[in-house]
Amino acid sequence: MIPNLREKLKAISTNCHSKPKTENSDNKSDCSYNRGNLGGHIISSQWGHHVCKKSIYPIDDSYGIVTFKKIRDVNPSIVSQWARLDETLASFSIHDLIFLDTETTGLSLGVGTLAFLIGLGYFEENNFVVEQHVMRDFDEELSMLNEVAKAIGHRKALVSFNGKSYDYPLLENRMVFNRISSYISTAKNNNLHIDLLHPSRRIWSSMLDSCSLTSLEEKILQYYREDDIPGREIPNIYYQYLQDRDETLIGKVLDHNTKDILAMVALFIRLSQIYQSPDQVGLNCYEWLGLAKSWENQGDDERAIYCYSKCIEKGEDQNIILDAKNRLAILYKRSRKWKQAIEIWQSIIDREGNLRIFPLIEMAKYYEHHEKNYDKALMYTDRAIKLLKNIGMNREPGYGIYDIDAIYHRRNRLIRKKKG
Amino acid sequence: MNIEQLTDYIKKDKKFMSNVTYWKTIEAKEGIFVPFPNWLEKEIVQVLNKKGIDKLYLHQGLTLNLVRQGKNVVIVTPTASGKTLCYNLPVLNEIFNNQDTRSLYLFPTKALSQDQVSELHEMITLMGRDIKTYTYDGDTPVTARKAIRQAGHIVVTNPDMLHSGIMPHHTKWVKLFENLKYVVIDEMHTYRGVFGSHMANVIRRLKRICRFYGSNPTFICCSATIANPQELAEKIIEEPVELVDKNGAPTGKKHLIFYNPPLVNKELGIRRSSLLETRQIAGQLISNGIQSIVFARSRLMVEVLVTYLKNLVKDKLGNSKEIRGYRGGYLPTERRQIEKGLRSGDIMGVVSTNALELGIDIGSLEASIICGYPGSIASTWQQAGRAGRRSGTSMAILVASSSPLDQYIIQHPEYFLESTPESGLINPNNLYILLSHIKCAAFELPFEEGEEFGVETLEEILAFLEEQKVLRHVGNRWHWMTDNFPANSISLRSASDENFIIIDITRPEPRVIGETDSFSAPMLLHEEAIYIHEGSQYQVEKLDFEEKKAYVRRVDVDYYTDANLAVDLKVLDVFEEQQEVNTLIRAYGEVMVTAMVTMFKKIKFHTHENLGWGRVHLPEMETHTTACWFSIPETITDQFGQDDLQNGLMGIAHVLGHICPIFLMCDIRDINVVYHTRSPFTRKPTIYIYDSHPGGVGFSNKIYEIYREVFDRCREIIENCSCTEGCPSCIGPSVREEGNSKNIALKILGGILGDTQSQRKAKSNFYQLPFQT
Repeated sequence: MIPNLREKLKAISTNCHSKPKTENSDNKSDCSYNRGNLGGHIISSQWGHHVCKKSIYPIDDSYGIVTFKKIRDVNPSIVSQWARLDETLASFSIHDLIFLDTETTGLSLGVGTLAFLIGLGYFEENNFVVEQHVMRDFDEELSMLNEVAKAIGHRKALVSFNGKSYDYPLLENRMVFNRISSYISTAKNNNLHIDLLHPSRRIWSSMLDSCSLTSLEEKILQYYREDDIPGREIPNIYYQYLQDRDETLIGKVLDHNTKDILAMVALFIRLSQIYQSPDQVGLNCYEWLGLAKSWENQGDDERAIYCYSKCIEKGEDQNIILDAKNRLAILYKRSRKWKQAIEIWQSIIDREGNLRIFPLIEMAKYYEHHEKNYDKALMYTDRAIKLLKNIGMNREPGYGIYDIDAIYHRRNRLIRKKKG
Repeated sequence: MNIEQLTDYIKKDKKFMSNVTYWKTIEAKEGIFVPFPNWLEKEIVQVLNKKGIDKLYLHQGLTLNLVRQGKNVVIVTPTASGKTLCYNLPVLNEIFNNQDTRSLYLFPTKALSQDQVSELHEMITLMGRDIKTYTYDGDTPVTARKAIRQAGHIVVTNPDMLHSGIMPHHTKWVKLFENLKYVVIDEMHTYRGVFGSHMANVIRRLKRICRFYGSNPTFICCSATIANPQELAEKIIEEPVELVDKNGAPTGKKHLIFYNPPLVNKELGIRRSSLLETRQIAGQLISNGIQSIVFARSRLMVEVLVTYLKNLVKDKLGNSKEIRGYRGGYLPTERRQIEKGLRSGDIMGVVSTNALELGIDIGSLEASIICGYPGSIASTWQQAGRAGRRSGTSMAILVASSSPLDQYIIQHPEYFLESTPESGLINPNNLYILLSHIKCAAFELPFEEGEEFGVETLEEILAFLEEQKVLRHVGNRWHWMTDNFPANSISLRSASDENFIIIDITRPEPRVIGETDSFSAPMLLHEEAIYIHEGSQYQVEKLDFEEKKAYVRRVDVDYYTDANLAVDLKVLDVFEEQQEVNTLIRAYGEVMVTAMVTMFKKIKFHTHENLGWGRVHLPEMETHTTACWFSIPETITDQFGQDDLQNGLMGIAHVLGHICPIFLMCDIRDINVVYHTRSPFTRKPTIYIYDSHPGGVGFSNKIYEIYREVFDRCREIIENCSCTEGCPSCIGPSVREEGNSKNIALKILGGILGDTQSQRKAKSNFYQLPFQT
């Protein structure tokens, strides 16, 4: 970094002595005259100008495996379930939804990072409309932001992917900076942001290494982009566009943004379907597990039990099944359905080559405290000790640490109890 | 013995007194009081009464009235004179009148901020008002940050956090910036040199953001005694500032003692080690139950002294009173604990680097022992001021080392007392620093045509940044147009902010015991180094340079290690060059300095004998900076053999390194001297003097201009030194079997200055001249 800075210092000190270069002013005039329209139309107002590009997708179109018109089947109350919205606020209709995705001049969240492209998507009659607002230079930001604030205006449900921690704070910064009051802050305060990232993680994290939009798009929606540009290159493409006004690459950024919005809509529909009618959409064991955990988290044990059972039934992945069984058994235990719980624990124990300590301990607890059958309890305890020694570790993935002393403690107590 | 008895006892101690070069007793002074101004809220007055305060000191009263009139103020008063009320009262009073008012407190370190908040909290609690005061720094939990941004009436932070954590996110701080009424800059004298130059730019940015949000805060600055508090304040905030320097606080009686360790070898000019003398003096004080602070100049010396003192005090009493170390590198919780122990009196002695020079609240101690001249008059007064209560006697002892500067000071106490303390010099328009902050400022708010930011050439710099494609000029504004966050890569301090972590692996569970800045790491944490922490020894087993981690294991050995830093220098660019009549060529330009630790020595405790050495394999550290250099004509050097020349130059470099700070009014560490017997660049014997800080703050440029005076003084010191063949107090200890390095050095200097000793007229004494420059 220092050699570079040194060059700058040198350059400045020579600059100070020589005459200012005249090229700069030429450059300036170049950019103000050569602003094209990027395939959209120019919006002009008291705030200046910027470009708006509208693309219309008939509702019969699909994105990967999802057809847009399925949005009509989505029940808003199910959305407020998976998006964890405050129920009282969640009385929105499909036409209140506004999908938002920005492309920015940098990746950090300081005030100096701007959104140069704000893509909005909404349903209108029989279409899904993508409306992209672009500033062709820094002096068009005010116009762009005012128009976007207006467009978001009356729609109360903002949908984004990772917007809560990125797009919204960034836009809020810029709105405050330009002294525009917008709905974004209001929506944030009223918890009407629907962010797809976390719900997606809840369902697919056990299945996918990454829950990025690209990864979800390919693995879940089965849509494969061609000729897409990586997100990290976007700031520099914009800077290049500012210099040379070549619309080829920036055009690809617009396409990228459009696809992000379409993917969000498809994901929105898919998530709603999964929660609304899981049996009809053909879930795999990972999805059932994710769904079950999500319901369990929300305190809906009944639905959770159903989904865990479905996951076990599906059975593509033994580790997932074991996970589901453990969780299901705990749910049963919590609701004192001992018979079902024991059945599950026993099934884990009986599996060839079982390495799980947890069910053995649970069985020992059950026999000690409920059946008062100390022989059986002792038998399970001894098996646990043996297993723990065999595998030579005291940690079971996801279930905490087993303290061998504690198990011996149980054993001694059981022996005492047995003697009476 | 109490302190009075002890001073009497020492005065009768002939052996001790024979080493005392100066003893001044500063008599106690009564306080000057003024009543509370009538506009001060009743509730605030009541709380002050509850705390036992029924009137104000003169300086507090003066400040309150000036601030009331909306004037910027700088207050210069000694430690423990109640300066915090000078800003807390106007701030609290304003909040009483208007709940929306916001204030920003800036302290140079995190530790100081935390102190302040606890004091403010105490007052606010007594008032029973809902006034929210928060520290906002790197340690503030993320969950608490939002509330602070929204609701904090008083936000306490440091310049670094303001620079990289607050201003680049100003839209999240709308409430603060819209309603900012007061900005408090405490310990303003610390904003000198590079740090100060950065600070002035941070304030430029702050004012710019305030303008954007329509506020125009008043600045209240506090400073320790320096020569130019008003000038410095006006340079930092770039507005007129009123000076308040009439201290109304009472002070106790104080003894100021200069102590020069005895000569043990007159011919070689070797004195007893200042470290060992300090051990003895401090040991005596602490054994007598006098709570003392010892200032040492390096972290290593702190640790060595802690070890010594612990042993010494334990031996005499059988039980050890608590002695602690205090320096950068200790963890915050550890520091808090030590500060508390000092206030409560549980800790009898603390050995510190200049970290405790600042206003960290440790109460007032009875004695301060300064081991080695701290490098500036201002620092010396600060350190001496750590001992001294509003009533009762205190004592400050300066123990000189054998360095030329220390020896000069200790033998010329009148210089110390009569000359004004150093000025705080800053150069906010250092291009290197300015450019960094112009970038940060552009990120925060686009620059508008006709806007001002320190320099008249702003538009040219902006145009340059535009060429570099860092900014974009459109619609009368310059916008930030790169994909990065400029504040992150700009550190306000000279040292890099990425610290090395020290991990103790003695026990199965590794534990972090400290940290050190990446500049000192190669010196302190190379493999096999003995790292001393809180008096315990650890040996470094592995230094992971990439990951910035050092793994250490506890050991118990009778030696410590001292690393050698090999420095090389390469000229990159010549800004100015001048050939003198006597064919001396002096030049000023840009250089690249590479520093590398190549070996270390093992030094035995107490005897300080060399027990052996080892190699160090670590990467070089590079610094680009400014330097001036002097190539000596062959006509002078041809008469010497290679070894003689080498020794002569080494001697001159030694003296220069110590006296340049006097001309520059800077710290001894701010400049460095190296020499080449045949420079690859000038092809002649050459002496280089360079700024330690990347980019330079203009120190070497100044030496380039006043070189004659510097070399003249250098010659005088060597000439007047009482040793025969060179000693640590002039050209450094003689390493020669035969030949006289002192004479060679003098001949070379004569050549540089183009005259011989006989030609020279008698000159005025060295100490009278340089301080007017």
